[in-house]
Amino acid sequence: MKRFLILATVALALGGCANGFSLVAGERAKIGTAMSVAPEGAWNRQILGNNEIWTLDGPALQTLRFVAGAADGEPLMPRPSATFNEPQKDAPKFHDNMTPPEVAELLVATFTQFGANNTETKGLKPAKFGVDEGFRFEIAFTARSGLECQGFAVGRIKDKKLYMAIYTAPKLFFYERDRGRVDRMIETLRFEA
Amino acid sequence: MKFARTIGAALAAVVLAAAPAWADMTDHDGPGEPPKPFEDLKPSERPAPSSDEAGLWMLADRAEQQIKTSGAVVRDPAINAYVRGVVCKLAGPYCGDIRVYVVRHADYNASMMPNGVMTVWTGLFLRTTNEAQLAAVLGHEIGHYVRRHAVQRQRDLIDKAGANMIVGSMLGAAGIPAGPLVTLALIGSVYSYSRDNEREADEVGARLMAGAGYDVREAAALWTNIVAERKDDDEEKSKSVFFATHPEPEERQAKLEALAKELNPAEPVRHEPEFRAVFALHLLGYLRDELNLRHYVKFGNLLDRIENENPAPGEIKFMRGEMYRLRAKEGDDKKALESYTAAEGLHGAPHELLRSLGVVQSHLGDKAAARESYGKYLELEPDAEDREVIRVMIKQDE
Repeated sequence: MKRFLILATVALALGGCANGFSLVAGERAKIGTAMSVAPEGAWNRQILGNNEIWTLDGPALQTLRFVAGAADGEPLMPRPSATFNEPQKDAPKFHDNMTPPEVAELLVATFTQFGANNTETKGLKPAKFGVDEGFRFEIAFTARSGLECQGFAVGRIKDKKLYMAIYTAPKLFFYERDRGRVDRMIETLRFEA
Repeated sequence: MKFARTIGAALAAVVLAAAPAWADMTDHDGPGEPPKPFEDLKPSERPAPSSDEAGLWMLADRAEQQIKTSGAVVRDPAINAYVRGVVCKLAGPYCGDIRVYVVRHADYNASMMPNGVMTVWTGLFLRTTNEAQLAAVLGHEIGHYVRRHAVQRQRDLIDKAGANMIVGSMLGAAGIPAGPLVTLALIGSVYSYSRDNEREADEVGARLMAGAGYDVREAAALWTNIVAERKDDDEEKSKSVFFATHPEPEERQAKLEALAKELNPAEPVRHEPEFRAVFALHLLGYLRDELNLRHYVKFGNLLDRIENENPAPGEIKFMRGEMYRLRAKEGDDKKALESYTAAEGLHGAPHELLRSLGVVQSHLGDKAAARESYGKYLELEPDAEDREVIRVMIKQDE
């Protein structure tokens, strides 16, 4: 048990808010090699491969995740560190022939794999991804922490790669508080020429 | 009163039959103290307020508060009334002491907290094929409660793991998310009763089944289902909360078969239609939960078993198509197409089949067929939430 507690403490330290985040503010921020966004306010940003996690108060309170180009055969996002001592299984992967309903299914399976419960999507519809045509759907789930969360995702498949912005936050207070700001930021998404 | 006699007789018989196990169950009074056997909880009994057992009940009460408000708890009155009814048939005078929470959760598990909180995952209803099999699991859990197995196992863990961890592990076993630090290993350490405890709970369960008139052979049959599901699946054993907390099913199956020979009532019942009537409506939803785990081998085995015994061909063939479509290995789109085609028009196949069919037709390059399937889907579901996206997909396939 002692060993477990030490491991847990180390994991907390590694996965904690202080580590790997840097401040992002100003006119435009580049995300990966192909995308940029105009931050509204000052966000904390963590870069994880082709994913970026943006948060104002900490990832448990709101996460705006950018998937900046998942290629055929790649998972949507890296496995969160908190699942470190659970049996590893390959995360579900994106395929470049996927339709929007399949992308919504992929996100549900990914969240489920990473410990969310009762993940559901609804309201899939065509929507703007910045100025480009894309799709959007809402998502609801119970987080590993036990918090009931909700959010929405916008996506676009471009040059056989999947680009997404996924906003999730606890239903209580945080989701409503920041959704307007996130919506406005999503309008500013641009693919780099 | 009849129940009181039945359960009393059942428990007395277990004490006699399981004497070595009973003798091994000792209090934790330290070395030098003569071992004290636990007495069964009596109906409506609560532990003495000053006892460590009362402390454990308090922790379980805390966990129960969280379970009560969890969005994962199934509120469907028909399901709750049915499961509660089976518990009461089995538990008799203990009926009022046991609170059942059905938790929407893929995979199979049931757990019992020391204070009488029983949780049952909805995934279990895909593995049990009749009421007698469900009774086998519920009876087993009642056995843990009456025998106070949790107290024996968990009292020394409070020191080791701390109160919050205990509450967390109770929630984890209940299928209610409880934070990232509650691991499968911890749930296992809190809930892995000794083999003797498990054997004893199986035996209490079998005797309660027999007392309520159920066919005890179905308890063994349930384990046949579980073993079949694990076939060819190397990952399963290490992943499941269930197998972190219970002994090997093969062993239990053999023991239960022997018990059935000894105990079975003269006219044993299985109540299969009653069971089906409650859960048939939820088959697709529960299978969808299961498929979201993307354990394809296990899921395929599960479908095979259900297809063999359950007259729900539309649902099963559709979900087999979904499995192939999502697995997306070489050749899977074709297999999905075959499954969808076989399911189309069968009772129980949902309209979304046409959307899925369109997707695989599109993947296979048959754009005209895809457009037609999407079109049929929109005809049948004109108000579908995703209608606009489907219209875009039809255009893209032109």
